[in-house]
Amino acid sequence: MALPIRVFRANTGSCGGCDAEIVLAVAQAPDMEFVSTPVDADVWLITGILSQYTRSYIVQTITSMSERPTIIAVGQCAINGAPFGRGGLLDAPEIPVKAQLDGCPPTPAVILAAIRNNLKLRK
Amino acid sequence: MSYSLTLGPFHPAWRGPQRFIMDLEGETITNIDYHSGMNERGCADRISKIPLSQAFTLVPRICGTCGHAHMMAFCQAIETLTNTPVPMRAQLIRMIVVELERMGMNLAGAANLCSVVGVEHHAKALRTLQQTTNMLLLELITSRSAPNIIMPGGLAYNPSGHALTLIQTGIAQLIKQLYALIDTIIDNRNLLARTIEIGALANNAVAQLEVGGIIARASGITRDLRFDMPYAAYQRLDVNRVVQAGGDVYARLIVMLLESHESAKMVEQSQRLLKTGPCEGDMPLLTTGIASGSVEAPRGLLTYIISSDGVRITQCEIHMQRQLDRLLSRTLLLNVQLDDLLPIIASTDTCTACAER
Repeated sequence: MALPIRVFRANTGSCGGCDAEIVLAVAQAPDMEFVSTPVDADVWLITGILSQYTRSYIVQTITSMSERPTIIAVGQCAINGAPFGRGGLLDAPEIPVKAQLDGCPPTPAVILAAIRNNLKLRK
Repeated sequence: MSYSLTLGPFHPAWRGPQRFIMDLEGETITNIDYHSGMNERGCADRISKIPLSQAFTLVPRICGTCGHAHMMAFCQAIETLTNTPVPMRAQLIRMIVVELERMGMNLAGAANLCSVVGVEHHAKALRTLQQTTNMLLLELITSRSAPNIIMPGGLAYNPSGHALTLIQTGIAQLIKQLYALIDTIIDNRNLLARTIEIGALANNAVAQLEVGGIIARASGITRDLRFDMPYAAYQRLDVNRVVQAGGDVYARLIVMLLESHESAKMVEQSQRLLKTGPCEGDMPLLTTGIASGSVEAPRGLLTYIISSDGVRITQCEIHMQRQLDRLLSRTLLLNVQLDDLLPIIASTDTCTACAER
């Protein structure tokens, strides 16, 4: 039996709407599970505007990893900071994003499709 | 053996970023340092810098899980400032929206707690009900990305009769399903073993710390703005106040579940009281002054205080009752076993989006 896809959810300053959709999405996918440490994950789902503190945490963690996970930006504020008027991955080119899911929030179906389409399983 | 352990800022057991740095002696937490402030987005400040029309887009997005409660408090403040009456039909539909939202949030919190303590089948059943609740809410607000339904003076639009009928039939089924599920959850042995007398918060500690919402009501505090100073049309409903005396993780779970059930009953009763009539609001003409609006949000009292110069909002303050913070985390988590840490944190169901804004 194949190992489940390990998902790490990083709320970097979001309203929590995308996070709720991610929880519902992963709960209904038998081939996925949440992990609590970023280094164990196959996929990182980043929500929120990347506040100052969380941005440095994300960047430090990524740069310290030898093998980088697939990173997906979930929701409009993770992409460009709207409607909060600041932040987002547009301001953080050092974070290598594989896919951007627009929507406020994207639906669980869209999130699951994005994970499966962009996944490159780590060893 | 002494050692340190750090949890967070990101973890599946909680919604928003929060960090716990702990010292442990064996399995017992001897010191805890709580770090917050990572979800700060400066929303209150931004409201005073953008046009009012854009504020109506921002306010419901301050919190993705109780955005309608934010919008209701904001609109109540504007209505007080501009002396705008709200038709009864609009009040009742507002209550349907915010109670469905509260129900979804409480079910999500209960599902998360069940998942953390390892009763995954209950978590799954609760998430299914949460999804049904979300779908019912979606019938009213029509689209996830649409502008908010709540507007000053009423609603942004009059919901279709079809949507209201769907909610009427859907909520009746949901009440039956939820009642049956609560009945199976409350005496699950595994759940009881992991939650009874764990993370207990005494009644006087809650009063002293001025904690609100489910944490307070699980510790015997009866405070709830919906009953104490009824706004909208809450005084017309016949529902029960949910209070538990235990103060532990189990009591908080029961409060979340029973509040979901009471919310469903409120939706059903509001639906029955609905009469046809106008309910549309409009963009208001601001007047000079200061006004406030308060609602009982899912995680405690939420207050908006706005000042206006007659043209725009010049200042906005958003106050949310205390949730998990440095002081409360020390009160709740000092000297507990490491195994009990995640259930205790999950039982507070802290919404950092509301707390830090």
